Amino acid sequence: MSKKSSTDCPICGFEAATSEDMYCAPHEKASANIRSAFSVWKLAYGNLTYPRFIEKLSKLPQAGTRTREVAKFLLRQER
Amino acid sequence: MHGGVTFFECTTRQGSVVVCSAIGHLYSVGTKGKVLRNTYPVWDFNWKAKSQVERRSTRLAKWIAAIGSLAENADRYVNACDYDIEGSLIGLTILRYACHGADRKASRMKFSTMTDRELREAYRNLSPRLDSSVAEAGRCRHELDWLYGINLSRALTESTLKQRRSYAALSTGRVQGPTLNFVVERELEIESFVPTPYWTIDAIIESEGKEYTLEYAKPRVPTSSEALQVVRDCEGQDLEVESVETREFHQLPPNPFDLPSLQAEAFRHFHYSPSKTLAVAERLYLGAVVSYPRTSSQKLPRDLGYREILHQLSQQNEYSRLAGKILISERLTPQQGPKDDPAHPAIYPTGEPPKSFLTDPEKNLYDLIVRRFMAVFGEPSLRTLSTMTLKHGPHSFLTKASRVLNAGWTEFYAPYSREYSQELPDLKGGERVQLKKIAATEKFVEPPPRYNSNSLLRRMEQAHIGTKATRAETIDTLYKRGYIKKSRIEATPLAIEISRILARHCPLILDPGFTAKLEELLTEIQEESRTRVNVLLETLSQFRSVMRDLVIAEDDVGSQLCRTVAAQTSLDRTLMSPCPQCGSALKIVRSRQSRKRFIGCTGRLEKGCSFSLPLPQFGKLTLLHQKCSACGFQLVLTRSKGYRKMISCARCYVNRVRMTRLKELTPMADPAAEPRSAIAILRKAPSSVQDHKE
Ligand SMILES: [Zn+2]
Repeated sequence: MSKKSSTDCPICGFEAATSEDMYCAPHEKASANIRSAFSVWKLAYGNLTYPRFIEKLSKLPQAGTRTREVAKFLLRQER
Repeated sequence: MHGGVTFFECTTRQGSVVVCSAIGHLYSVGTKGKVLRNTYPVWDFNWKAKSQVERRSTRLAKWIAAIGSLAENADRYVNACDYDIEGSLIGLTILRYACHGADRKASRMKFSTMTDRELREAYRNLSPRLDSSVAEAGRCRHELDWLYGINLSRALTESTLKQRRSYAALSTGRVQGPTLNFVVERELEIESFVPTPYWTIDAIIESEGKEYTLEYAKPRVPTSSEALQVVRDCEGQDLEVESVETREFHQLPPNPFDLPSLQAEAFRHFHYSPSKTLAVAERLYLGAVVSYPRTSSQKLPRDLGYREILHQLSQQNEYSRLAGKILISERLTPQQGPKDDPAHPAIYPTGEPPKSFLTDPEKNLYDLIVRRFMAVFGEPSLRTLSTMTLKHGPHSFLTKASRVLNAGWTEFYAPYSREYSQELPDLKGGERVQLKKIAATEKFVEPPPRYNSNSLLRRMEQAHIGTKATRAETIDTLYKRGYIKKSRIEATPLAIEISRILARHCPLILDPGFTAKLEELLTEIQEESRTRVNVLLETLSQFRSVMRDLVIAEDDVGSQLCRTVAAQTSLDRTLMSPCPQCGSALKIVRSRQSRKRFIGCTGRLEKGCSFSLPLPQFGKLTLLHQKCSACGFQLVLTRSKGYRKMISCARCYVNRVRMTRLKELTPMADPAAEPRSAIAILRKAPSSVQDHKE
């Protein structure tokens, strides 16, 4: 049976994936991918800040649509 | 003619022979007794005349009547349908049900081409009995597919319907479920993809007035600092030729075509979808110019008479030179592939020239099949591949070249074999050359590629789901149901939701391993190591528990699906053109009183706007992305079975600009309540074979 989760995804309003998660399942997956990619990106560019990273990601055509949505959301929060 | 059905009659020494076509399946699985359309699960079934099961198949009733009446007083029966599972089953059901149990005394005709010679020979050498085990396997497949399809689809549709919020006819099935899941998994991977940056180094040298592009030895440089360092180190410097290596290599002729490889090659060269290739190949087969296409064999047995076929091909202008060239060899030994099929050889041209006019797709496919057939008799091709390595300090650069020494089979397969030659710069080991240009470019790893109809078919084949004859059709069904779209396949939100629900409540249905295991069991029926009843019982015991879980979760499934269906429907029904009176969004809505559909303004409550436009009342409506050339309003496409597609502008007709032609298809909306509707026919009816293009 479906339980109404305490939080809804702040990006799309769908139910959060689990009680610990902030986002729905697709946005959560994108968010996890973003988190683990930052170290690789930092290494690649040498001196990359987190805000610059998500800004670049939010405009990258190769990034998935959910990835860009999460990046845009994080960017708004940073500001 | 007999009862409106054409048949042929001839007289032989043994007596008169009547031949009547079957036009596909005349019988199919249906519910046993009267069962309401919204009841599930359904377990009782029997075989019925297709005309009783499907509304659109009513015309088949006269075929059954005609065959039944022609078969009266016959003393011998022959099933001469295509020699494969479906053909065996079509023949068996007709003989059993329309000819009152004649399957017990019927014989089977076996052939791979429709040439006069082979048909006569097949008729002389009839198998005394029907290939019952093959037909039983086919029967079991139809029964299982029906049980899975009707129960799962009803579970999805009914659980949504019971929420009383939205309606959509949802479907899934034994093969459809895992196939859709391949697309959905890929979609989710692409959606949440985070690309990794890398850099490439592009360098150019000039030798004797000609430019050559060099690759850096490391094709992907992982950091910008390393990439910039390479550019700084080498800019304006000389490179020294370190080595030139040349290798010769042979390439064997390709294997003869089985259906999947023909579909792949037709997609590569002509962009035909697998279902289109199959349909075109079948037309060529019926025209007796190629052999039976639904084959998994990559072998050409010697008794086909290679020399005779090549001799006949040499009589056709386009192929006379090449076929003649092969015929000079004393021994003809074709390249054979690893796959085999007990019923048919690989696809080959019969050698007979086309008797009727060939359409462009038929011409293309015929040419591909003929050239592939000739190529398999060719010699291996021989070419050299050379690599020159140039260095500056620790940095190495490569340039590659290739040259054809002996074209071999590629000559026969041209233009479908790519023959490229590229030269190396004329430099020797130790010589130096100046770098003309060097630059580092920032790039990003691309997301995994989307499937196209061909690669999705390959994926199904790899996972052993579906059969060579039905895979293309399954993909077509996914398009028709709106679960996938575009030629580089995208899964729709509804498809993602269905896969998610099935994964949560009945993961077994999505498991390709489960479906593949079932295919194995069906093969075992064909090989007579298992019976149909045994397979049905074993599979259904598992499936019953799947259905039990779905029934228990009905409420959950329904509410989740409802939300997605509603979101999708609302998206599908909102026009891009805003209301010309108040600027609010326009939507396709249905009048609560008259039940007629029309375009209404969403600003009705808030702004009191009463703007509305009429719509055709019958057929499936789709909002197009095109605008009306006269007024700029969004166009509407109407599709009705048996009628031509129509594109209309709801706004223009109110202004009486467009003409009306198909009044009978689209009765005018109630003139008192709504403005009148108009239709303009701008497009021809689609052919039966459609390509999925964006
Ligand atoms: Zn979300």
